[in-house]
Amino acid sequence: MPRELSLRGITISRVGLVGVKIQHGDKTYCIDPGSEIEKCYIVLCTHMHVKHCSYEYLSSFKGELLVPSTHAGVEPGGIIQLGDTNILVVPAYSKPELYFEAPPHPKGCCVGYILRFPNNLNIYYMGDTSFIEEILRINEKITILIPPIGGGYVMTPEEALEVVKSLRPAITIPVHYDKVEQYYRFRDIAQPYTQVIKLS
Amino acid sequence: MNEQPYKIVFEKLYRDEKIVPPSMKWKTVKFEEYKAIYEESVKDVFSFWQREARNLTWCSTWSKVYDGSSPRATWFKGGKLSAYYNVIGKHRETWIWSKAALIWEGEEGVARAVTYGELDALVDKIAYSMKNNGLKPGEWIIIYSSPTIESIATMLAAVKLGVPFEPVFTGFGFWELARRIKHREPKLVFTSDGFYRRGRIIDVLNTLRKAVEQANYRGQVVVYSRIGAPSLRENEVLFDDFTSTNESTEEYVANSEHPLFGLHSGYRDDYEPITHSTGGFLVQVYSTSRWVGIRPRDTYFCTVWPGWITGVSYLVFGPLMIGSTVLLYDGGPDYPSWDRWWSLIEDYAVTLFLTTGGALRLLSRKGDENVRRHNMDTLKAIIVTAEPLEADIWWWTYRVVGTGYTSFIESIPSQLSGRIPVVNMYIQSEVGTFISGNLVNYTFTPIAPGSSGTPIPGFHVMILSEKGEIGNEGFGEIILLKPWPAMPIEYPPEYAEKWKDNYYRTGDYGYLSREGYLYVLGRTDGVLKTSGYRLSPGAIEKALRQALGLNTLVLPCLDDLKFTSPLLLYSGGSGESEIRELVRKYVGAISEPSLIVNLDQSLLEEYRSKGANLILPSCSKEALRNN
Repeated sequence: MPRELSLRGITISRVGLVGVKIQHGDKTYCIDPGSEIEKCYIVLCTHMHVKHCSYEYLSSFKGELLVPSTHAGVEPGGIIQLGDTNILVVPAYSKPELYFEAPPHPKGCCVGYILRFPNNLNIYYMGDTSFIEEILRINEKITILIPPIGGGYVMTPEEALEVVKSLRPAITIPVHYDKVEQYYRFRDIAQPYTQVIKLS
Repeated sequence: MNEQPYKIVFEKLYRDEKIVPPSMKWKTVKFEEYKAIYEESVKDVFSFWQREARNLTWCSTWSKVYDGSSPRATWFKGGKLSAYYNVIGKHRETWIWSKAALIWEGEEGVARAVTYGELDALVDKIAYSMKNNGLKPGEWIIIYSSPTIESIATMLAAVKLGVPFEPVFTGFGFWELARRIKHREPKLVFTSDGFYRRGRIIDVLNTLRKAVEQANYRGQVVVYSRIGAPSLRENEVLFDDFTSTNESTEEYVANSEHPLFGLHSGYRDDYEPITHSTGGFLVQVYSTSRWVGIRPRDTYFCTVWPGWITGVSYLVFGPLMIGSTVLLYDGGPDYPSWDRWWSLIEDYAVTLFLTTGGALRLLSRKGDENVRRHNMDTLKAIIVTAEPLEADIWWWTYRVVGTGYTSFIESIPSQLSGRIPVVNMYIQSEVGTFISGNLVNYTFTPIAPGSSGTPIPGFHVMILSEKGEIGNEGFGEIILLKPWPAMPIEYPPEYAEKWKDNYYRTGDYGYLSREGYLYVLGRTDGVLKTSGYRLSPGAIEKALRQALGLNTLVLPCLDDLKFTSPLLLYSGGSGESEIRELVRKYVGAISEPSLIVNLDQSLLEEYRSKGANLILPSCSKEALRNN
């Protein structure tokens, strides 16, 4: 399977179970990279869970760091300008009614990011979220969608499909799944609406 | 005619059975329904294709649908159209514009994608630079490259300017490439510096340079840097430098008979150039692409490269005209292991897979496990082409590749019961598109494994018997009784000679069953069909005469894996390894003989006198002795 995908001069590769690295010119944008923060120009954390981001690894990181509730602007609706890239912070949380006990990602703990690169290339990394109503209000043309699909603490393939149907991204790279069957399920139902690609 | 080889092939193809795949349960038409549509279409092919032509956008409509007499005839005379608009431009302002047009994956595991909008922008840059470099409508370019986004965009840039292009398969050696350069006299040649095969670099640029030298070519060479940063020679320019401007160019509005692209088709004595027209070809390829089931939301993987008619028609033009996403794989099927193609289908959610019978024959020998460890449930059809497909291989493909893991309608995955259609299509360079085969999106009759389905509406397929009688049943040479829109507008005498009494002899021997299923059994004219490639035996003979002064005769022999393979007879002092090496270098590895036999001059001439059209029933000395 392909280990990286390039589109309009931007190259995406996966890191661990959930994270991605996005190469734009000489800068690497790392989203939820876990411990793999080498060569990152900026680390964008959707929340501080060890598979996503951890202070243990980030304490020595010298580059730009975005962590919700810690850094200015990293909250839903926030806009951060980094060189020629504009980052829109969007909500991400677990819907309480879907969980018997406390939701794993309560509202306010987490965010998603829409990275708006030049050439109208918008990448939406959703973070750990349910299919929440705020997603329907996103008024951006998404080029590449990176949704979690593994169910449990995040969306199921069927819920991620609702996002695809709503946003109609050109390409979708699913992340955050343990079993390849979850990829198959998502791929089979989402393919008519987007180009699904499995990155290794 | 020695019918023994055709009988051997027929026995491998024919089975008295018809299959309706579960996914086609509610789409399959009754045979009478197909017959009614087909017969109506061939009763008046001109009205039929005129109706189809209205699916394209014309700047001015034709005054006469067919003018002249075959083979020299014009379709849609007086009609004018922009080929580029009909392939790419028409998707502007639609949802297709922002979807992926091409996804390229290199053997090394990296991928790139472009949307239709981005592809259009890239085409514009190339077209502007071509025009700026003096290219005019009607002047040729040649493309010698593995399939990349840039090579496809260069073809489309040529289409935009009204510049005909010839893609040359990179499996051809420098000598064959040089002959194509000499024939076409291109104003520009596009190439790449190389590509990867089984992890090793294939030096394309070096082969091109030898060909440029051989052909004494003085025009411009545009080099796409695929594997590194090549140091350039005079007249060579890097693709990125060539396309450094962001200017736009207008779409060329062409007469219907304006040349669109060309290929060198294999005949007994040599490869000869044929050229297809803009109007007729686009009408035919657009209709047949829709009929075989390509749709805008498909992700379509075609393993046949441009350089062969299937690649031009059904990798470049057809799927892009429809607006589907085309997966380009720049690598071999066996690297790092024999499951690479299945892995691509799984990872890119491929919905339509087109490949050759030869490839399936090979893959079926590599074990079911290579296939079954991949989930390919997105597939809705498998299209096979280029050569006869044995019933056994059809069944293997239907069951092992085509069943999938999710039950659909009445499929039973645990029993490998089959689920989706596997359709074998009959195509020929001169006809330009598929001629016969089950049409997933039109007249789908039950599949007869081993056959090339039923003739496609609009193509009047008949059989010419040994006695010279034309009929719609039995054994004989496959003929087309009526002209077709994509008739070549430039062709060699060999093609013209195949027109007799107003019908076209395809050069393929076949069997048309009472129900109308066509079984293609092999060439009648000594031309090779090797692993799906149509190869000229005479071109191999010419190369060896040129390089070694050798007197040779190349005969096709039936090969379990490749269908037919070159068997080379020679007299003289050269060694076998030297001959093999020269064939690989001059003509290309695809033409390497399976058996080389040194004979007395007199015996060799005896074989020549028996007829170079002889097909040997096996690639062995024994078969040679018995014939």
